[in-house]
Amino acid sequence: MVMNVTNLGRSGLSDWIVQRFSAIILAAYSLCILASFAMNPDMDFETWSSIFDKNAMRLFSLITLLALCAHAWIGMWTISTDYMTSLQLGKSATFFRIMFQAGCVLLIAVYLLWGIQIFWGN
Amino acid sequence: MLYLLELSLQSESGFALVQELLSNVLIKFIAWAVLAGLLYHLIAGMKHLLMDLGFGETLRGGFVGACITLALSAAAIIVAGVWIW
Repeated sequence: MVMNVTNLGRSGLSDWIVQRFSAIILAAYSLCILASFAMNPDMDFETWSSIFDKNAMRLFSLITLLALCAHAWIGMWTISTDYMTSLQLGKSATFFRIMFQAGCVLLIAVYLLWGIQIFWGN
Repeated sequence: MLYLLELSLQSESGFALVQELLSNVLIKFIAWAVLAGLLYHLIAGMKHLLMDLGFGETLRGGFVGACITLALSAAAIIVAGVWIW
């Protein structure tokens, strides 16, 4: 039997639900950030850094960052397994797809670790 | 984008540098393009979730939903452009 070995939850149903919940978290965070810009038309450093200094916001940012990573991986996995197959790329499709996916994982890891440094550093 | 976020939160001078960078027309355009993609993804994603909940799951509903998504996205992207400039 062929098994899924590269998708996030090793199960389509699990990926499906993770994608939806992470989407809601990302939408909520995006709207919060948009709202904070709307409420502070003349954003200065004091206001900007005080928004991200609060512990609740730090937690929200970290949760969102984790949701973003899961969301991005499920999305890129879905795209690469849909459009980077032997149908489009021929015999070496698996090689290119795995290389592409490895690149995505590397990029997502950089975003995650760098993001944690930004939100939780200092 | 992460670099700009880091810079803006690091220090007051970093924040000023980001403001200065964002006054450059090319950077403004890049920021707008990124924001445009994000807004469209956000609105199309909301439509997707609504359809998962069973709203508009007909041929006609799908067409109307797609039209609303495109119209809302276009409006949001224009507003974002105005806000940036």
